[in-house]
Amino acid sequence: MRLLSATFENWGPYYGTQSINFDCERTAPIVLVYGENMRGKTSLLRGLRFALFGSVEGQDGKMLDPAVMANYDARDESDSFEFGVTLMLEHQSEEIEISRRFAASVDNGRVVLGSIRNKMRIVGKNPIPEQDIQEMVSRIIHPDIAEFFLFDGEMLERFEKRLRSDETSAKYLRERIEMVLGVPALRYLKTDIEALIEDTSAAVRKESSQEKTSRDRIKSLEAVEDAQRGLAKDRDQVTQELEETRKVLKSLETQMQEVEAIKEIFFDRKSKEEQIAELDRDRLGIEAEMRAFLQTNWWIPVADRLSLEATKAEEAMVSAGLALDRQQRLAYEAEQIRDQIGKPICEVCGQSVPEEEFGKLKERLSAIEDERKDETIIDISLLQTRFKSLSRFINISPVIEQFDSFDEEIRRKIFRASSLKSEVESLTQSIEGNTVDVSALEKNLQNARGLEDQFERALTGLEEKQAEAVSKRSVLIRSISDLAPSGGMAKAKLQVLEQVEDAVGNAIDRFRDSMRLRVEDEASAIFKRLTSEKDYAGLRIDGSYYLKIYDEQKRPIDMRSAGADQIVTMSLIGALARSAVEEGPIVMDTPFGRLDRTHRSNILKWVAAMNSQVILFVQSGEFERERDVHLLDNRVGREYVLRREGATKTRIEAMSHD
Amino acid sequence: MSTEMPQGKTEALNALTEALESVPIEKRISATTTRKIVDVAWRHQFTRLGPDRAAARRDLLDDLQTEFLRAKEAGKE
Repeated sequence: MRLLSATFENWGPYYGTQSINFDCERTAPIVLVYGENMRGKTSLLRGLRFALFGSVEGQDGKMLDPAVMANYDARDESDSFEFGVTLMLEHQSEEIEISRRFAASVDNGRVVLGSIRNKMRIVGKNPIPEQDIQEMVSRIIHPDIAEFFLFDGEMLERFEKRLRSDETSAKYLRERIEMVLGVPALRYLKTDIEALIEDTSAAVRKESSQEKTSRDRIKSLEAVEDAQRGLAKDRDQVTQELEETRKVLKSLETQMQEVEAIKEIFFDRKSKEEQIAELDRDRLGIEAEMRAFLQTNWWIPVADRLSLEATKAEEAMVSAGLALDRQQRLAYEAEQIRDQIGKPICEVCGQSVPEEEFGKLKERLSAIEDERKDETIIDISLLQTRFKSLSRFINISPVIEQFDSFDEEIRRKIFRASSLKSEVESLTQSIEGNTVDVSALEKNLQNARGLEDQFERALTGLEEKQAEAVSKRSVLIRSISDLAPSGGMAKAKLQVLEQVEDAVGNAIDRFRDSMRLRVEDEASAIFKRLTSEKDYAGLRIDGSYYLKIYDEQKRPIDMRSAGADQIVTMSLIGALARSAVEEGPIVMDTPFGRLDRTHRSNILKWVAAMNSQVILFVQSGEFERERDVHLLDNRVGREYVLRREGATKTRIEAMSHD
Repeated sequence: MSTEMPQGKTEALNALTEALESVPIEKRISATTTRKIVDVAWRHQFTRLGPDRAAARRDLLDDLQTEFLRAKEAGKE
């Protein structure tokens, strides 16, 4: 199958009618669609799936209400509008058109879907009746295997995890892989031959019923067949119940995965809330310490003023001391001068003091008396007492620093708590509206797993009984057939059918094993091409299609990065695409998410070497045209850009090649 | 589109051919019939079990007709 074009009408961000032409020369089968995040790449992928299968899938594989794909502007413009996708494809040299559209009305801004209109026609022939469309599409590309052809980058990340898990989704995935490889073909063939043997054995009975021995054996055979019918009925019922249970399980597991994500948010939020509580506790402790500190250092609020006053008191005391000292020195000098003036004869040498000297002394005394005239009484003790009471505020920096460090610590705690609170708020918003009852969900999951286990065991038991009955019946039919006259048609038919049944039974496991080996070889070759780790020798596949990396010494590499997982998955998908029952286009939406440049360029070179039609939806973070397009080796047939025209509007614009 | 036989179908044919090797050659269905049987299986592989398989069974009977006649003739001898 090859995609020729897709037309989107009011689909997602694609307002009006917009098309992409995928039809390229065989030598250049790659179509590149460039679009930044939120431009509508995923809407394109959903559109292709919708056109094929009539349903809209979310990225987690869950079904979405198709109303979410109605274009906002079309909805706001009119009370009724249409939206949908038309796909043109080529299959077995015929051009086929599939169109699925909804007539929608708008009620209070909400899109109300009318019935879906499905159309399918082979160009040049009559339209296909609507009830046959699904069957026809399934023959072109079966919905169960479509995920290996139309996939997004997120699926690459989930894929490995799904295969490794023991959950129902892993079993479902493994069944799908076998379907891609064609394993059910021989299983169904065996069932068909068994049914034909049953029909034929009735005719053989007629041919041989003349013999008495035959009649006895026919009676035994009828009893075995009765039992077989009963077993088949039971098996159908159990199979149906098992399928139903698996569907329920798959949905519960998906819900559980969502719950796991919510749980992670809960844990994250709880840990942040605990951090906030711890910060609050620490802050309260520091505040208590600070209060005690303030009780001792009550003056801190007026510390500056007190420090100033203390300095002033010290200065006043010092300057008063100096002034007092001078007063005392002047008083003493004056007293000495007066004493000398009263004695005209020197007491030491006994000579008379010259008049000139007296004049100088009188002059000095007069100057001292002048200076002392304005003297005030200095009470130094008062100043000393004041200074003493203020002296502790002279050097207060260590206390203030301690106080500031308390203050700073409190501020830091408040800031951190406030930023954590806003994180908690945004986490709360992200899980708002989730009212999942986790314990009920876990209980349902447990019950469903129990049921699955029960049905599986019942099925195994029934299958064993059926196998016994088949072999018993086979022996009886052979013996009846031996008694039938030679040359009868029924006897001949039975012989041939039994031979084919045996052979097909033996071929099933042989075929499954050979396909598994083929996938391993293909995947290994692709992996060696894609990986940048030269020590990796290849991949080995197990019965569950889980691929392990091996090194040159044949040792399995158990620890591998998310990027390596993605490369392994890409290799498996590439191998499945090459070994698939039907050739199909590979459509990849944002496939290079976690990959580094080397792996990206290896993948692009590999894509260029593929024979299939490849359609890549890429964003600038993973693919830069100028830098990367040469890696596709001139194999790009068409290129499109998703241009933003508004928050809800994107235009598909063709680049060169058109 | 490739006109070659899909790889899986070739493998299925090989598996069935190998499985038939244990049948004595004079009784064994022919290579052409084996191929036809695999064609039917491949064509109807997405048709689920149930009434829809009637077409597959009719095709099988048609393709095995030559073998039935051969076995009938062999029975007369």
